[in-house]
Amino acid sequence: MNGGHSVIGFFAEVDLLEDAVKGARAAGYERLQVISPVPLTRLDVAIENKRSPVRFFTLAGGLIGFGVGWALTTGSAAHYPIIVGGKPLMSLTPFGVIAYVCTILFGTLFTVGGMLFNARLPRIQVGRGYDARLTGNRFGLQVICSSEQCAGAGDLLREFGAEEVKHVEV
Amino acid sequence: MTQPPTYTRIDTDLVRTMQPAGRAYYVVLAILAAIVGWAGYAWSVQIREGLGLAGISHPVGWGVYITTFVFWVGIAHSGTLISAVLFLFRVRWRSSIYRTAEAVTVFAVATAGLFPFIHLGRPWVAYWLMPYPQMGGLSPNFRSPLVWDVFAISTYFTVSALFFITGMVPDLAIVRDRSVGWREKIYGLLAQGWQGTNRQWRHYVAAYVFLAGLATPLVISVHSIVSWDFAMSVVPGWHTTIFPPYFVAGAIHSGLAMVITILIPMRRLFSLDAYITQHHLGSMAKLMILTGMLLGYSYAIEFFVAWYSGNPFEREIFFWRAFGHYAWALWLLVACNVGAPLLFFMKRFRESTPWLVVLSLLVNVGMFFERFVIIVTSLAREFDPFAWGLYVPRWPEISILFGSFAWFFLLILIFAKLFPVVSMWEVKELLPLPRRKST
Repeated sequence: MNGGHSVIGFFAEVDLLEDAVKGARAAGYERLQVISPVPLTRLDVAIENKRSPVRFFTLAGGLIGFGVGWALTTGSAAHYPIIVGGKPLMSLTPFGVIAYVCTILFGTLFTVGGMLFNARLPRIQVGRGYDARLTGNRFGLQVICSSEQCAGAGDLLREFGAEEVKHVEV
Repeated sequence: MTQPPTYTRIDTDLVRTMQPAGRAYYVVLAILAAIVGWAGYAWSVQIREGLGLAGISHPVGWGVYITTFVFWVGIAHSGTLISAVLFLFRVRWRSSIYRTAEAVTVFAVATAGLFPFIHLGRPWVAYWLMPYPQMGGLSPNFRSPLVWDVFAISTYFTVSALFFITGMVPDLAIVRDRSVGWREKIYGLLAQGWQGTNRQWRHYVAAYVFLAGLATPLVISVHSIVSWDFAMSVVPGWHTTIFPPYFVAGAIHSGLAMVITILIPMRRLFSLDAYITQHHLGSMAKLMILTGMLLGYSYAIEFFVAWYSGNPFEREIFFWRAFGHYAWALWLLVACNVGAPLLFFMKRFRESTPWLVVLSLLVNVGMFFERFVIIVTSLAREFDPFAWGLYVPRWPEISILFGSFAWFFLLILIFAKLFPVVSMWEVKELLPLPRRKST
């Protein structure tokens, strides 16, 4: 989203926002972004309704952690053997505890990493045109558009009940 | 909860708690810092003079330090229960209190984590506990529950801290947007550029569910692994299969008591009555009835199994616990952990703030002595009467014990002034979404 234009409409009510999203889509605007103080993932305004891929990061982290746990324990047993008569060198039950703990640890690290990667975080600064009201009590709809389209987009957002419309370069 | 009317009011009320503190705050902070300083001095003397300065010796090699370690790990558990387990069960009353409960978890584990180091005679070789390739042929023995504990506690701290920090990101953005100058810059960095876009929320909500799912088994496993520090040995009074559920119930019991102990003054100081209501405290009191009764059952089963086993060593240790040198501690813990929470069956105790404070403090005292009795009495009265002995903590142990409480409350006080103590975005989520009145 660099070098383009956008229009942000501010809405006090979420149903106005929903109508505006539908209206903008119907008018042919495809690059839309909703900004809200609470998650709206279950509403129609959720622009991307696809399930988040974070779950694959969690799964990958869990599997890697499980492998690391077993490798660490069995590797240590092989490299630093403690030979006790009648006892197996590879004691699966106690090693399973470490494998379980590593599954949780790596699953968590990968989940947080996956969230940050997919949400494009962390960022040093917020994006241009960001408005503090949007973490407070207002819902925003940002329409990414060409400079010619943007005038029309602003009118459209006002038509659907936006209290205010801001033009922002992105 | 009594629903605050608007998003604006929630932001205003909760950001207000972070306004510059008055003189009383700094006086309390200074007192706590002085106690921590004294404990640090005591530890430094112990390092210089040797571990013999403490009361731990043969036969009681684990005393107040390990007792305090287990106590603080236990305190941590209610935070994970409230933030993760109740989140997965969609319990609405958790939203207002989980942030403080999570802070209790993170700071309690951070406090607990100090004690294995303090208990070491040579803390500078603590890294020997971690697996690393080295030429000496020495590696951690992964068959030892003490090594499981290192992994369990460090994982618990990492997971809890990440869950805590991740949950705070949208709120830090709110604080950033209402700050100016250097505060805006610092909170801006901590908020990581959060804007609340649909992309961010989508991945954030998904990650939050998975983090809760990953943290949930830790509620069960961490204290189970701590209990195996004891149960995997053959010491009478320790070698029992009931320890994991018994320890988990105790951990949640003590954690709930500590959360109540902290929430009540916090609600008063920050005027958060609209957010932390009597319903929240009463709900936790009801949970404490359950955990208290689970503990009562566990205490009874321990004694029953010792008798029913026919094992003379088991019978001896439990008889001695009930009627021997430390019997006062056993009966105190039974009264505090099982007797006191039963009063919460009566609504007037559940709904009375002074009673909630008194009873939760009693449970905290009782839970400390529960761990003391388990650890000390079993070691003091092992198999061979020739090796029996008593344990009395000495001044470094007492200083460091009180220092740990001061350290914990110091962290809580600093947190309460620098971060939102109630989750703003989740409390907003409790409100119906603003819609046009006509629809």
